Amino acid sequence: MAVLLAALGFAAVAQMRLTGADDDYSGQRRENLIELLESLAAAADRTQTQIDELEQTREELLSSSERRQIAVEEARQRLEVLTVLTGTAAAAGPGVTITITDPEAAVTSTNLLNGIEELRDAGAEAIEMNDRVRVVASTSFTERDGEILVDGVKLPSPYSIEAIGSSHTLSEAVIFRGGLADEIERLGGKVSVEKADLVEVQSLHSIDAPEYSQPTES
Amino acid sequence: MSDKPDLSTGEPRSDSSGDAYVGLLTQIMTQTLDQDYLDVAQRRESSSGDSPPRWQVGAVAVLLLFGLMLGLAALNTAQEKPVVAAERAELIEQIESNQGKLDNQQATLASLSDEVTKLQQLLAANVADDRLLTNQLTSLGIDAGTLAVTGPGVEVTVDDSGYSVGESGGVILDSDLQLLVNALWQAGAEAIAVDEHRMTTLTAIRFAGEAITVDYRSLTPPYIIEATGDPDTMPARLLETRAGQAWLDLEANFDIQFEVVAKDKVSIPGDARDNLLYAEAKGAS
Repeated sequence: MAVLLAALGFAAVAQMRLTGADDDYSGQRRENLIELLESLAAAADRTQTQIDELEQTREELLSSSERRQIAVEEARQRLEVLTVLTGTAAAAGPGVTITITDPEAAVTSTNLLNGIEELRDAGAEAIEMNDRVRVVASTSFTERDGEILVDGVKLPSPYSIEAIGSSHTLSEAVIFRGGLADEIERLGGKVSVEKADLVEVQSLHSIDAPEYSQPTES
Repeated sequence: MSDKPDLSTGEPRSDSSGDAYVGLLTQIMTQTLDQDYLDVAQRRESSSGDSPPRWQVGAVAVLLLFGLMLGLAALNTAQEKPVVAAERAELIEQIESNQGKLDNQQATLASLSDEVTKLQQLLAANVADDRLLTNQLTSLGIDAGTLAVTGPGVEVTVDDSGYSVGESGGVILDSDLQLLVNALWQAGAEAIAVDEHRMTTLTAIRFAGEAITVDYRSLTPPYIIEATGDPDTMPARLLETRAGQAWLDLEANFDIQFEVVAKDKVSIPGDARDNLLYAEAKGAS
């Protein structure tokens, strides 16, 4: 009987204890719990500060990165245009192929330069002569011993000019009254213009780093 | 125990003799109990037991007492518990909630830190890309004519003659200017501007109506052509070209102004046009 009662009592006490402490903190005193709570709060504060700082950094990086990405993308597009303008990259597009015959060897470098200027005026964006010489801003037309040199490269007739741009406008520019075609015909040659949806300008112009020119400080 | 009354008639009391440490309560209880047993035994002997035996009553009382004590204890605990335990539970709850919160924060922090590192790497790559691109853009921009440049060079001033010689002998034509620019390239010019219009591969020098146009804009004489390049050699090289000779002829025979001056510094504007409508680059430079 006494044993039974003792067991009952023990069970009752155990039950009470159990309901009161169903966690990991049963061994902890109240002061310890408060201390733990306080240090947890402090750690949470510190962590939140770090999170806030990192979030700010991330926002800055994101906007900076985005801006740079846009800048780089724009720069790439500009670079692409510049490679066409400087003749350092091959170019393709609609345009014309012009063939100039010169049976009397009467065509001069000045005639060709004038023809190039007409094409520029008509919006030519990339020009190549005889599939060999890329015509860029600094391309010079000269003569030596009756032969025509374009950027120092001897070009024999018949001359061919490939130009990318509006094929209609370019061809009109060549055959307009008093234009290149008239001029060449006057010299005994013939000019034919062929419009094409795709003209490929393959020859390249190599550039040297400028020695005397500095970008102007703005 | 010899002085104690020997009451062990009903129940044997083996330990009663010689026990000098029995406390008063125990003694009383034992006596009471013993008395009860005695009474019960006596009753059993006298009557056949129609009323509950005395020891049962005692047991019930003891149980009641125990129950009361247990109840009191429980009551006591239950009364204190809401104060101490509730506070404790709340503390623990707060601790656990804070713990969870901290865990979440630390997870957030870790992924943020990861992300920031990746972004920094990306940005570093972009900056390197950007720098490379900037360098390329600068050197190509100078050559293409999209960038304004400054440097030593020459300044060429040409003007129509003050009076008309023949029909157009005293007037500068577009082809004259074309040849002059062409001769400057030949003489080693790096960048050229005609009346502040940069010469690019897209720039045409034409004659429209009564005036020379550059970049579709009419110019009026005198025309000033500036070029960067070696100021020591360019003037001489220019005059050696066929165009240079032709211009000297024009100067001599038609009173056209043709002045070439070496300069320590000329400023040449850029032509901002950098979009193409038809041509597409095929493969990078």
